[in-house]
Amino acid sequence: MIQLPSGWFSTNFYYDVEDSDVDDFYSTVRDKSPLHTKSSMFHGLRQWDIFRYSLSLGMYYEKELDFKRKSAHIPTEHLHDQDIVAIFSAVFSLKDNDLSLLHEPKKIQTICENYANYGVRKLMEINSQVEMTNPISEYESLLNKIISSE
Amino acid sequence: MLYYEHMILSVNLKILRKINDLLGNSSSELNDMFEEILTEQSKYDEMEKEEEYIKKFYAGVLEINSKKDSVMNNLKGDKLQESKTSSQTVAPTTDSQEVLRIKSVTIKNFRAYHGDSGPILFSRNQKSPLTIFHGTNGLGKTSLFNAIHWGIYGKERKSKDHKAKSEGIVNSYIIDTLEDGHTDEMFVKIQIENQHQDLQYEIQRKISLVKEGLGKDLVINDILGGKIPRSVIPNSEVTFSYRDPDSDDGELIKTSNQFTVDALLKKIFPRNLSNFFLLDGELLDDFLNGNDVFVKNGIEQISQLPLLQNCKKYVKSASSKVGTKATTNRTQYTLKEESISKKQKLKTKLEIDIPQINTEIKKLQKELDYGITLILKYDSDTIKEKQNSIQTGKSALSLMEQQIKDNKKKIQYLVYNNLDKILMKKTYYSASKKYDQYIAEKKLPSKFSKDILEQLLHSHECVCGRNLDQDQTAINTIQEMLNVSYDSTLGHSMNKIVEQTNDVVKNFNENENLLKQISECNDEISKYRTKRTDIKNTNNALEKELDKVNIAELNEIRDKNDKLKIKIKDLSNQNHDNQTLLDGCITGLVSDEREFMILKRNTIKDDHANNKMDLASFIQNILDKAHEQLRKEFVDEVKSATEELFLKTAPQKEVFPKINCISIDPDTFAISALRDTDKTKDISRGQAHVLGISFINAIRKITTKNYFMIIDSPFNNISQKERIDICKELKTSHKNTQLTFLVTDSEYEGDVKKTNLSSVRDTLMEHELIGCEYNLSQKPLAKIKSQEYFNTTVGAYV
Repeated sequence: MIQLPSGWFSTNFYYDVEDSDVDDFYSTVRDKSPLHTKSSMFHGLRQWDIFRYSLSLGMYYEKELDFKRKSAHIPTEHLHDQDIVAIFSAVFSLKDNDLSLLHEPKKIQTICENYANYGVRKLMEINSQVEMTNPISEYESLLNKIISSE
Repeated sequence: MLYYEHMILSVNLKILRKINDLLGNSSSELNDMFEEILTEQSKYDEMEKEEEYIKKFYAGVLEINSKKDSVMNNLKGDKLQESKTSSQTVAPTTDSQEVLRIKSVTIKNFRAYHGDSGPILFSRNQKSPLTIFHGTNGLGKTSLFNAIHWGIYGKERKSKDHKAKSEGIVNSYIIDTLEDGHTDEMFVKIQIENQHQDLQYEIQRKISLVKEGLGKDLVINDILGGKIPRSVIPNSEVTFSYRDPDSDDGELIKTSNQFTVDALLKKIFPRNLSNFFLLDGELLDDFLNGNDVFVKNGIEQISQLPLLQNCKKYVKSASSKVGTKATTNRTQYTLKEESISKKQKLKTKLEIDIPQINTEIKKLQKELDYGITLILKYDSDTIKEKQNSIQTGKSALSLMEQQIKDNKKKIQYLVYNNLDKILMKKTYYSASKKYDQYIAEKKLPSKFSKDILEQLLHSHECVCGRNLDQDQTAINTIQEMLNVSYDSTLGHSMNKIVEQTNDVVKNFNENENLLKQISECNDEISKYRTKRTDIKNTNNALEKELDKVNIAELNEIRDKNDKLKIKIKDLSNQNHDNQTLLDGCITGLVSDEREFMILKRNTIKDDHANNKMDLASFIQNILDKAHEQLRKEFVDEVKSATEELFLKTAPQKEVFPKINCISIDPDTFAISALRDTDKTKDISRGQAHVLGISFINAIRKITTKNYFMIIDSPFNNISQKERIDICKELKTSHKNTQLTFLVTDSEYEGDVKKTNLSSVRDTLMEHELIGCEYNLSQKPLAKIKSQEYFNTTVGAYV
């Protein structure tokens, strides 16, 4: 298990609460969130799973989106190895970043939050298109599409 | 071709005419049928040998049968009952009778007649037909009569026992004087002609004698009819000459064969008829009492009535032989035919019934099967079973759904665990590359944390105990390391991050496999979905069926099924019985038909026999009728003719009624005359004599041939008056008949004074009846050793 130094990341990662859909999407209490939708691939998962997928999509499309109001949060105490690996890969893959970034954990967090902010919208789009009977249909198609195009 | 006729021929024709009358126009059809039956009979004889004959025979019998009924019905009609009694059947009158008369008789060495008499001519004058031989008693009248009889029959008429006497038919003087080694002969030659003086027959019967040796002892000799010396050997011979009816040259055909001659003479002069042309007056009584066999037989031979009876007996005997067997076979045949007919009807019925019942059984079985299916479908066990099936289905369905779910989860897992990484594939590659670079540049945070390095510098002593103060290089290195070191936790984490990043990158090579796994999972899902659909459908169907279950209806179906089972069982039993019956019937038919064919064959034979029996029965009727009617006609005709002459010539004829004074016994032919009054009183001897003469005369009238008539002692035992009366009637009673009387002188010429009546001779002369008259006389011939021999001579022709 990857054990980052205590306090290295701030307590929470943030997402764009200005956008209610995003807010609902990440919500752990609202029904609109895929975390509570049985037919969703993310049903019963963590906010970090949504964030990681959002980050992946942002990285896939190589687009980020800034946001200002960061009230809602994703506690870092729930980070898993795969989340950390994804965050580090995302930031170190960027051309301008080097090891010095390790002294700037806030920057790492911001970069990822912005890419995830873009990605979450793509994720919401995909999530809205899934079949009721097959919650992973669109994800599966995307997977097939990406692998087949290689 | 030999052609001969005799006096009974006309009667035969009469019988044939009678039978023809009885048969009417059907005689030819009957004849044809007889012919056919005879023809078939010949096939019947051959039928056992060749199959083809049997067929022909059957066909023939059937053909005859088809004709038989019509012919027999025709024959059995009124014709038989109403036979004609027309006058056509009455004998021809004496005018139309063909006359046979003796031209001459030549006698040599016959009894009293010594030497060759030369031809003694008989009267052939139609107006004076009478030839008289007269003489005293013992002068040879009877010998002359016997000579003629012997000439015709080979034996004498009178049945005196000559064997007891030494004298035979050959003149005794000839025998007694015959010398050793010498020969002599005795013969009688008779010439017979018709009314046209055409010679018809010539009979010469001769006995040649030869003496061999000197034996004098006497032995009875059958040829001579008396005792003769053993040394005298007789040899008889006969010659018969007759006119060929197919030739007009008058030449006679001559034959000397003993058997042939005897047969011919028997035909022309039947022995039984001798009384009717060679009559011994002394035996006239025989005609009255009916005791004489010859008389009765003669009459029967003339009438030929026994012929009909014999024929009937023969036919009856023949038909009775075929009768019994025919009846038996017919009965068996009919019974067998009925049996076959019954069996065939039963077979036909069963052959119709059995399939019908089978069809009915099938129909009922189908209903029962349906009922059973329903019961099976809805009974408690079935319901339970169905429910279990549904439950099993549901379990399977659940399993299928779980499988689908699992596969979906697997896909979800695969997608979820890989999609984010694949989306960041480039990212991971780039990061990994950078990590590799940092590692190569040793920039990554080391395992020596910043805290340890700072502690090391502070203590001035390495972990190995070396003093670092003296080693500036080491201190510099530690300083450099401090510049790039981080918190020990972060260094430790970076190593793991790099490691896991590399693992992710490494796993990208498994992407193809990932798709395969997903595809397999999808296939599995698809398969389980199909299975799930099937199970769902099955379960739905089962559930639907279960929904339909109705207990009342099921009970009703059960009741119906029970009834159907009973009915099917009954019908099956019935058909089993029917089949057994049919099998038996077929077996029986095969056996019956085999027997029937044999019986049929026998029955057809029987039909043939029945045909014969029917015809035989019919013929017997015909013969009975013919016999009955002919006998009556014969008796009536004879009676009428007898009565006519009798009433003209009988002594005291006035005592007899003018009609029906004569009675003839139909069995014995004994004739009697009944007085008008006092019927019990016998007629006189003279009346009886006349009655006999009249009777014979009447019988002779029914023949077509008017044979000569020689009467020995025609006036025996009758009065002169009766003699005269008879003589007076001769012309009418014996019209056209050549008559020869052998009379005594006293009968011929005497008793005139006593009765004051004319003599017979005078009466005959008066009526110009005498054509020839011979006086028989006897002269001494020789005397040898006191044995005196005489010779009878026939006087000169007058």
